[in-house]
Amino acid sequence: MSAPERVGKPEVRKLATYCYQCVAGPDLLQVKVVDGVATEVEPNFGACDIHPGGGKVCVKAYGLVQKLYNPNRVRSPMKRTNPKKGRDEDPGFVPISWDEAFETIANRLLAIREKGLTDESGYPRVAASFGGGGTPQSYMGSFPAFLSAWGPVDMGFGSGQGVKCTHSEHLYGEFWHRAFTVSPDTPLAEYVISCGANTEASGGVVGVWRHSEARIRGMKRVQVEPHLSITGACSAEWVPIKPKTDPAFLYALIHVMLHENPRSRLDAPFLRQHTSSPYLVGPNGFYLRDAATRKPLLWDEARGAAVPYDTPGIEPALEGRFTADSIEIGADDEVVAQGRLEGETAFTKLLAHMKPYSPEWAQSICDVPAATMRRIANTYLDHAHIGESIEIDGKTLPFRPVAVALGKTVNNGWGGFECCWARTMLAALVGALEVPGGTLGTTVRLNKPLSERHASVKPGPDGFMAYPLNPTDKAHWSPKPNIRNAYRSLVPLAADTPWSQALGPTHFSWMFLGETPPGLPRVTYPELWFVYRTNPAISFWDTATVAERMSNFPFVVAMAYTRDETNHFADILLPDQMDLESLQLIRVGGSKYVEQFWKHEGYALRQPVVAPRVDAKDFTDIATELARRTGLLARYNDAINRGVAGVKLKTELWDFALAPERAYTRDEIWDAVCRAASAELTDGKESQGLGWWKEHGLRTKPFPQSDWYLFPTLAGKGLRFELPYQERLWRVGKQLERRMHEHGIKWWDRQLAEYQALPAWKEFPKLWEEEIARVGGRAEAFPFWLLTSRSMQYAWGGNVGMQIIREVADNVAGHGGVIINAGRAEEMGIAAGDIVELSTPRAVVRARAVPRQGIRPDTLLLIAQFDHWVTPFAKDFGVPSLNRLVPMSMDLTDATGSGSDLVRVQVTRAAA
Amino acid sequence: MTRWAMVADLRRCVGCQTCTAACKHANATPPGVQWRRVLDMEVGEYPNVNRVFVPVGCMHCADPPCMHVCPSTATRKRADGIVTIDYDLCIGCAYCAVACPYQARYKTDRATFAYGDQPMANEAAKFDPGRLGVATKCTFCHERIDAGLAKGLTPGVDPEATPACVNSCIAQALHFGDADDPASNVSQLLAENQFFRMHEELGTEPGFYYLWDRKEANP
Amino acid sequence: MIRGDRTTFGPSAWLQQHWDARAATNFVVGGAGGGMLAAAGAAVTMQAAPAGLIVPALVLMAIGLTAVWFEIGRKLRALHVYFNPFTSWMTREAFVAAAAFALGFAALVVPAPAWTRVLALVAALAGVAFAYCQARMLHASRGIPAWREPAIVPFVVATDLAEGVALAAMALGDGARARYALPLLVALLAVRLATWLRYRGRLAGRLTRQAEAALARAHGALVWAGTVAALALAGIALVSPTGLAMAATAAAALATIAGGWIAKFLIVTRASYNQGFALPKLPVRGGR
Repeated sequence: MSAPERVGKPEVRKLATYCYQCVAGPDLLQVKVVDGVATEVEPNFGACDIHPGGGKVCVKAYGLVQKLYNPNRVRSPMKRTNPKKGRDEDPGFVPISWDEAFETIANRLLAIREKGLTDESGYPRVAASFGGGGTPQSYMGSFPAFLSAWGPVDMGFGSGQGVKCTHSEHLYGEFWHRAFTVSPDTPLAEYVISCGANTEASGGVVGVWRHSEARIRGMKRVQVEPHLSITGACSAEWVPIKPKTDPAFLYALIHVMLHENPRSRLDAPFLRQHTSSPYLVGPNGFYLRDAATRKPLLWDEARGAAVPYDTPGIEPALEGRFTADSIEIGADDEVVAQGRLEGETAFTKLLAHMKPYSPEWAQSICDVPAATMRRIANTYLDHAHIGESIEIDGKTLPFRPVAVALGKTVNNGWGGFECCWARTMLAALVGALEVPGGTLGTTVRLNKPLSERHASVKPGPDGFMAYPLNPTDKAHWSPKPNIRNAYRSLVPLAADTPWSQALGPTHFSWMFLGETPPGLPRVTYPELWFVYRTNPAISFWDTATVAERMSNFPFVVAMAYTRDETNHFADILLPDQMDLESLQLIRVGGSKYVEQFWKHEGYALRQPVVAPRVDAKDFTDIATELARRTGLLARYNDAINRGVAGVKLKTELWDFALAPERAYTRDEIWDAVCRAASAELTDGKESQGLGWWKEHGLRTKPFPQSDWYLFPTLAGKGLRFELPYQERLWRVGKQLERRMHEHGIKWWDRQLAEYQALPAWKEFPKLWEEEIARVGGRAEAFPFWLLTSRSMQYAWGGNVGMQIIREVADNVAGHGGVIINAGRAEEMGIAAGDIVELSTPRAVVRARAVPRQGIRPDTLLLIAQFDHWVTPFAKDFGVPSLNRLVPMSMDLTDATGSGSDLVRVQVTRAAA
Repeated sequence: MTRWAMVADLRRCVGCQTCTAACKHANATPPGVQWRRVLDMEVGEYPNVNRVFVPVGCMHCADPPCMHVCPSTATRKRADGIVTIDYDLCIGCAYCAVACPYQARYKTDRATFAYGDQPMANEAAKFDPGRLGVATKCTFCHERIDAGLAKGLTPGVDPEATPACVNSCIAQALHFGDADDPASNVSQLLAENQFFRMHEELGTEPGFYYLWDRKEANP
Repeated sequence: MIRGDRTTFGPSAWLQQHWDARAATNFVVGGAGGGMLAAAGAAVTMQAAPAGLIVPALVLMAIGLTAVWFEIGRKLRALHVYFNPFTSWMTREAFVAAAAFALGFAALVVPAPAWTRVLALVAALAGVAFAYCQARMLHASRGIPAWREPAIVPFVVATDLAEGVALAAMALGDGARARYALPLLVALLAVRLATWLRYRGRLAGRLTRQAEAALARAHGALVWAGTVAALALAGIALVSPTGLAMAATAAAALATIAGGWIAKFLIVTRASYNQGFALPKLPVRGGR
């Protein structure tokens, strides 16, 4: 072929847009368009002073040009012609018109409305699954408004939620410090203990940028994890800990701080004034309370008497045993003791609780020398700067530049609670919680408003923050869940916001389709399932079972970029316009996931940089048409007016509301949203529309750095962090146990044991050995821990079919096979490139061996999640996924409804 | 004089390959050709092991072996230190490729595209048949440098005049500038930090420096 | 200092893929052709052989250069190879080859025997120069540790000459005259062995395991077939009656050539691991 002939100079345009392919976004970019062809992705240097990652995007965004022109795209709506569904069945997709596609879907939806939105079991007849930790919402235009207009939708069919996220952190983090996601205050931190948090691979542009700056500044990070990840590589120290023993490691650190250091090394004033440490705990484990007000008591050293916690001018005793006239209130408001009761402070209980957990105790569990743990604990204290302060935005705030970060597999499933508690305690002990330099929450998802953490801080019981726990009292708890994964009945901490469905035990939706456990209404197949930007047949666990369940779904509508393993089971494929073809305005900045806390906040536009390449429609137009054809236009437009598309269209200061019964075009809808955003950012003064936003790409206003820190807000409202003692959760657990037992539900008992006032170490690794035995194997025959780890090139990107991504990802070790310790491999006669079999008693996969030094001899690592069998290009990789081997197991589900992303396997050399 | 040089801060680099991808975009290199890439190296043995990410590519040596061996004079060195290849002169003997101690050179004999034989629109738009059968390598994006200089911009400071890999780096690991100008960004970095150059013992005098520590650490 | 693939894991050295069997043919066959041109030219000059002996030498050189031509990416631009005589040994090789062909051809066609001898002598020098250029080409390839070692130069020249003498001896097909060449062959074999041992000795412990293995295989071929067997056969030829001597000479020549060709082929295509990358210092990330 020859170079295209050009007459004159090529026309070059650079269009600003955003990339929100991963949860660590959004980031900003420009696309260079030459003579109408998108050729290059570049940073948006115009935003370098606003975006905390210099206006740059990571490698994933460089896949977008190929994503646009990929010849494997679904090029028009398609319908299935083979009624049989199965992995081995050819769906027989044939192209159809958009009209036929809409008509088919609308007819189904109308029939469902006719029958009723919920079925005989009470579950929504329509389900929807989206991937990537909420990132699809930044690409689905106004579809949330359609869902809102529709009514009940089951969004609890997991595609990775609960099993691939930092689940315990989401729930407990939000409970303790409005920290759906947790991050060190990297710009100020000096010493960070990271148990497996793979920030350099999954912390996004801002995470990478900030940690790079921090390293040069001298911040030391100790990476505690079984394999030397990208993040471990970039850390000052790597501690190769045995998998799933992180709670023991963290407990040993707490032990050293409490029992081997003088109290002056801790932040006693913080503990006394801003935590539950001085609360008196009675003989039954509940707070001693004032009989009249029912307020918890603490010991006022000034008065020498027990007083309610909110008594002004008191000097609470941090330690000691005291006697007071009081009551103890247990589950269901029962008074379990009253009179002259002896109590000890929560801190004293903590001391006793942590006493056995010495480094010497932990070293045999974690396979980490006691001296290492002791050194790390003491170094943490050395860097805590107890008593120091820093001025930010004119406010004097405590300065505690130490933090603890937790990674995915540390932070979900059994042990996740213990790790989260220990992490938050490590911060609390030195007053480093929600203060400059310390451990921060960066977003809320279970408390409202979602856009503003500080506004979500509301007074709750006993001097702590309110939290919308799902009810466990007799009057309100229900054994009839609203959706199939039963989060409201099983997981009080999951709350009940739009995000809660995906934060319940999302594997139960899949599991219970096979067999619903006693006490719950029979779990049914949803009559219509929307799937967008997710591929649970690859990204969930026990993917063979998930695929098998999918094959029984009666009607599946998949927004389809290319064919894939999930839309293989679809009835209708709808090609939506992809990232660079479609339009949406989203909120940026402020404080978001992971390390995305900015000094600015505002909005950014994603805009078409070229004309659509295939017969695809913008998701907004798809949503509008579905609303129109199902008679939901008024409710749909109303939802948009209420702000479901990101900005309220009508307030006291502005009114760009859509008329109820009109079907608007994409550009009309987003023009209104843009105008509302302009108005919001200027307090109603300006109202630039879509044209302005297309030209400028983004607009922001300052977001004060002091708003990164929640502590001043709590302190200002006289609220305490609910640490160390978990009286509320313990009571909730007891109530939940009663409710379940009242309804004959015993299969959740193991999980109920997680509700503890002070979490004790359990033999967590043993649970995975027991699982091997449960499915008929001998634990010692499966000696390896198989882990997975995110790949920055792929994580959340849905970009596995991008050649450029594969090409560059292959430069990073492990993308071509399973990483095994080089010494262990040599002992086993396994050389680089040899095919090995990784097996559990139930499943086996094959992989090429990638011997590396940076991994424990008892650990294996499969990066990312491949194992594709339909997705064009990716299906030829020949690289397996951990997901095929990890079982969906009730026994491996913790009380929050999550499991850990690891499995015990056997390794053998495969016959050639 | 001007001596364009690249500085890679190994303390910062996370091996994300954003520079690799950005280079592929900017220079429209075919599959498998990576003028800029980042190595994922391990040093030592478990458990005393370090993993290091090392950006590599043409080192734009002051004494480039590739230039000396080139029989066609296609490979030359500009006065500003940039080693160039004249695609119209190169015969594609690959002698330069075996002479280069940094594995920086590629030769692609046939047109190859991301998905099979047919180019996508973006590939067709930037396809250059002149690059087939000849040696190619990192150019330090000299077209950007030259165009930027003509506009009065400073390479390494103004993105428009700076190599694409440097612009893209999300860890601020890659820097570019004039090593002969003591006030330049790279000169400052080299003055403040300890550095080495790859295979220094070969005497090629690369124009690519690796920072590994602050200067005062090891007086 | 952390160097070499024993302590540096990850992207360690790998086998160069740029020069394959086609390029190797130039060193293997073409180089032998250069050596043969030297031997033939000398023999012609000394009137120990007919001028026609030059022809197979030139043919071998042509085979080598043609093989390379098949390897280059832009075949129609092959003449650009002449553009850099100032520093490129490839350009110099090309000039020398052109000169050798011109001289060889002239020696064949020039009517005056004296001129034939003079031209043959100069052609012989061109043959040596050709071998030398090839040796220097490898030496200038600084990306390949097994090539850039200076001791490769005398070895390549020595083996090319030894192969050339062996080829000439075989081509003569005349027991008496071939036997005349045997002492020279023996001497060259000794020199070749010495240069080889020096080359290997200087590389000991400095190459990748795979490159060392390739050289070990080359060593086997060169020492046992190319030297020990060749010398033994040469000895037999020197003390045997004519019939047996002819066979032994041919066998000695074949052993010489086989050893040299195998060694050169392995050096070019199997020992040609690059240096990989090495870090003299490790980055300090946050803490020391």
